[in-house]
Amino acid sequence: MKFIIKVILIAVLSYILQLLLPFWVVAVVAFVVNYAIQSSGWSSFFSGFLAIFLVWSIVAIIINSRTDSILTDQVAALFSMNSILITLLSAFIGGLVAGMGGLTARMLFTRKNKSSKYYS
Amino acid sequence: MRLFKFFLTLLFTLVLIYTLNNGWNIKGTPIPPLGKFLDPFHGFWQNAEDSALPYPESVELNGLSAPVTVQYDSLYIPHIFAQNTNDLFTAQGYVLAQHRLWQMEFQTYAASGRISELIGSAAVDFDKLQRRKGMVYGAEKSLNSMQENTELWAYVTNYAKGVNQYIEELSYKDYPLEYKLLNYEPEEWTPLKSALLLQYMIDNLTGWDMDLENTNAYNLFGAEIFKKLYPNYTATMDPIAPSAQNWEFEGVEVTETPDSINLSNNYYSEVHTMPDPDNGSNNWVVSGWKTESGKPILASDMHLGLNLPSLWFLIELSAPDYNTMGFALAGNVGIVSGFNQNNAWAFTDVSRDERDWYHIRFTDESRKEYYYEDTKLKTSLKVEEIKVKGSETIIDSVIYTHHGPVVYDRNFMSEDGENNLALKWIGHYPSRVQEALLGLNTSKSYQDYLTALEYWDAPAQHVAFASTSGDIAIRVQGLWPNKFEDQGRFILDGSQKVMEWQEFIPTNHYAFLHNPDRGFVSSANQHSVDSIYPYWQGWARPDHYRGRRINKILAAYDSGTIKPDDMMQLQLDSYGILSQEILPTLLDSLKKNGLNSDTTYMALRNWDYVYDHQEYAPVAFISWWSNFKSLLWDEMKIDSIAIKQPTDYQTIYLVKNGIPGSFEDNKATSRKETLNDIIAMSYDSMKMSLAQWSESNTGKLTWGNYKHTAVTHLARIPAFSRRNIQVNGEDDVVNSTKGNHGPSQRIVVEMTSPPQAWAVIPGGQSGNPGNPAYDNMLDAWRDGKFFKLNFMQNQKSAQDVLLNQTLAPSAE
Repeated sequence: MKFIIKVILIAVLSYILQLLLPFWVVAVVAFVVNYAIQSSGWSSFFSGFLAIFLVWSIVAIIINSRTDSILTDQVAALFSMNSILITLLSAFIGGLVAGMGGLTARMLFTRKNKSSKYYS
Repeated sequence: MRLFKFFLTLLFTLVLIYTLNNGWNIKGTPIPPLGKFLDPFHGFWQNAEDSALPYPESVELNGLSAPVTVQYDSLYIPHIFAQNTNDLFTAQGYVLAQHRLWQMEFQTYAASGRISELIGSAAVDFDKLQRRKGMVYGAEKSLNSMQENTELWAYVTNYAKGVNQYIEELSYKDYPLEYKLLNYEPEEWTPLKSALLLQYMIDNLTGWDMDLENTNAYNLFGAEIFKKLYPNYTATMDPIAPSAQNWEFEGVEVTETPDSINLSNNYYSEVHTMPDPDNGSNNWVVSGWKTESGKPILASDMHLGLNLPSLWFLIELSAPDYNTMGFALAGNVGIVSGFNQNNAWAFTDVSRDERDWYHIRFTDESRKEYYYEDTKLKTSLKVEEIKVKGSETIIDSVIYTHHGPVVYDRNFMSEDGENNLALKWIGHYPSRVQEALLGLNTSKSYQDYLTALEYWDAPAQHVAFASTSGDIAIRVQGLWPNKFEDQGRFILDGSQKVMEWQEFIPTNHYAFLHNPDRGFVSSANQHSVDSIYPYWQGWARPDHYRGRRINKILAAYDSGTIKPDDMMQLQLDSYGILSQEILPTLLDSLKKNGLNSDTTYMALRNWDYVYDHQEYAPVAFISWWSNFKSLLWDEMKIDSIAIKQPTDYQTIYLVKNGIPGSFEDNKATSRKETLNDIIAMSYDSMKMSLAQWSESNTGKLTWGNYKHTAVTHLARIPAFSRRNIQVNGEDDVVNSTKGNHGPSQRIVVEMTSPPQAWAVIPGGQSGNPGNPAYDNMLDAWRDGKFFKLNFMQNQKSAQDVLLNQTLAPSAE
């Protein structure tokens, strides 16, 4: 449950802040959320990763379908990929940055009892 | 331990972000900043557009005195309606930047030799050459001349204001795609950049000569053979302004003529890269008495490199006393070629030699002085700093003499330091064509056309003209030194005053036609005048085929028959006079067994000389012809001596009238070949070349596949280029379309009141590969279709246009 709340929080906050700030703001958001809601390392990393992977891929897919893939195919070709792969690559990169932001927060506080990771 | 882990993770995260926020170069492959670039909120995704006109309906602009309305028609062409000309050009700058910012800027980077800054060391040689040719040096002179005309200067600075306000609005998210990909930011636009764009066009059209190769050939083959291989005037000519009329003037004598040309005995091993020799154009105008409507019809297509974003931008400019529609360049004020309510005008390049090379003898290694007559002259030094992306800045020292910059020296293409060659170029004189263009934009009569052209200097052009009043005309316009015979065909001695450019030919002695009896004027880069014209001309790369074809077809029309559609068809004409003039000779001389069952031979026998993209015969002919020429002129393939083959025209002439020397003999064999042997040998080589083509290519061996026409992105980014375009034509036919080169626009204007026009460009209005208007006209261009232009003249109601954009003065 905590994990899902974190994912939603990171996704929503990042979406809003990204309208104004560069891509690395997702790391800051994931850091702050994971500092506020503390949990295990895995949960800290993947809450950020999943949230941004989803946000970025959904935004990319919406742009892609709205514009009839006009540019995605060309840029994908530049990377020797197809439009699905370039979408996944984009989402993965965003996810990785946010995931690391979350994990950094985890390293700031002392570990609670080990069992937390089973229900986070 | 905990803190250590935290800092380690933090450090890793920061390094990751840093890595993704910056561009990299991995083994020469530039990688954009992946985080920024792939971020769907700011990166390339934001450049994908679902509308061809994703522009705001209202914009505030500093410096406007009244609101300006920009209305976009169904072809996405903007029609700018301003209340005065100053506002008009501020708006033009803004609108061009809105569509073409990256292209505008990139072309000026290319002009000034700054491409390495963007793409790295691959462009260093290109940049060095641009700097050594003195591109900025020339542009600055034109800029100074713009400054002298206060009205023009106001226009150019207003244009810059418009561009800069568009730039100021942008954040990373809005940058044109190429900035994101190449990871740099737009710079401030300045009037110098407008001058640089002009210089870029001047270089494209006059930056070509054969002086080094001519010198080599002259020294190698001797005067007599040289004259036969490379005659200045050819046997058959169909000049643009023939001398059948009596010139109403006596030519001015050349001030001083040397006793002899004193050719240097040096051989030149390398020649720097030059613009495509096929850079040129067609234009013609037919008189009202030949047309169905009784009004003149003008046609124009300019042959240049085929690039995306499209070179030309279609636009209508309207203000009091200004109502013009046509093709603008991204970066220059006004319209280059087009029409207004009274007149239409169009350009083709004049194939005169507009640059010469002077051999410089420095007094010593320091190169601070060089010999001139009985004295020594001082050089000046320009230190060029070439910034290179991902590498150290390169310093290149360019020495200037009174002739011009020393392009070839010990640091560039002449390592032994013997051949120091200074460039004397019309592009180093101040160009006033921007003034001339604005004069043409607002011209109302034939007289206005003449007045406007008084300012036209470089690049030299044949300016065709048509008016609603029925006048048709063509002028050979430019700025040319009055040369003695053969001056500047070879390397000149830079220490002799007599070898220099002296007086210029008086402008009232320029050749022209005005309402000629034959009922049409035309030009296709052939000789402008014949040898009776009282001034000696050195020709560079004149056309021998397109002009004759156009004139033959235009002459054949009876009075009152020509329709605009006929002129569009003539622009698409792909009939090859070259092949018609040589192929039967080649076929008749081919002595082989079994030719009647040889499919290639039969295809050539049955060919109608039309370069149809679906046909096989054009492939066989072009390959045969090129193999034939390399066997015939094999004596010209010498490693350390640059020589150009004689033209196709001259080669055909010599094949039919006797080849001088012993060129027929192939040096690679021990026996002595005759012409017929060469023809048979080259037929076999052709078959081998074509078999190789089939092995390394998929698809049928058709002209379209073989020619493989491509419209390439300006920065050569493959994904933003369009390849394998199945299009008719060849460089020597009216529809002059080859691999990466061809008609960069086509337009036909009928001079009714108001004029009606049909046009097409090989691309579209938008410069953004993610916009539907990036290449929306390309298929129509390929298939020879045209779009009727909407010459609005007056503002329409907002509902009748696709987008009604208001540029309002900002309340600053």
